[in-house]
Amino acid sequence: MAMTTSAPIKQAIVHQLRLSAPLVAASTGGIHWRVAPREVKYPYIVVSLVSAPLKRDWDQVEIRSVWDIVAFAVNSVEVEQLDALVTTALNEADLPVTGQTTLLCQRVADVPGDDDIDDTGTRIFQMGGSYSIWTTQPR
Amino acid sequence: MFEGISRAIKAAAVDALNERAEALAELAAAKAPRRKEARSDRGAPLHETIHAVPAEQDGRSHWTARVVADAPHARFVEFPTARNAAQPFLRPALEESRDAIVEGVSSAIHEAARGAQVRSVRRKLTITLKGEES
Repeated sequence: MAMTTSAPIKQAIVHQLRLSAPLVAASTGGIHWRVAPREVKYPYIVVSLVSAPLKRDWDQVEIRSVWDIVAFAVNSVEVEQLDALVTTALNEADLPVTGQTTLLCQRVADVPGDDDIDDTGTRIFQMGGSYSIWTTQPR
Repeated sequence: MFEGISRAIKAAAVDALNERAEALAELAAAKAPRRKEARSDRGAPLHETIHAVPAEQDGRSHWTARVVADAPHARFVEFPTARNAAQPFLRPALEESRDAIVEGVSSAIHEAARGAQVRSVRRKLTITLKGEES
């Protein structure tokens, strides 16, 4: 069987986030990979991969991936709500990853975030978390 | 006797922890993104500011070694911002080294424990032999 990488984990994360109706309703700017395009309006969510080292065993391959999922919004209340919705959707979720079995899906840390001024001079807030997702698949 | 063993084990564990922290700092520096052109107004390049801080006792039985990046923009490289995609370098290095850190420290503890045990048995034997002589 062909080995799969962190790509199906990313798809599963986005799929899981989109399953949450309140989250989809609240993140009107959408869900973006690594960085949102300039024209996107707040609030939005950015998903990025931190690392995904492989651990090979006799008969299986384990991927121990870490992901940052950060919400951006123009007010602090909105950003807190979005971050809480992401946590509800993902923490301890039974993530359906194509070709892999999910062993663990947990929020493991907060991503540091302060208010900032973006390119258009808008004051923005960011809040997010790091999620540890471990999967296994046959070698 | 137990105090001697525990002191030897502790010293070996802290040495191993410091050694692994140095290795982790080197790996993180290798992973840190390099700017194409050096800019004098930004201070030292990011990879040059990454270093290990020797382990410090944190509570009665906890020792913490840290790897830090002193460049002021380090966190904006490690974590995503509204303008820039993250280029993590510290956490990937940690994730890759996690098993090696645990194995390195635990094997140092085992070796120190074995060494200290052998020394204490030898000392005991000497005392016993001396006792028999007298």
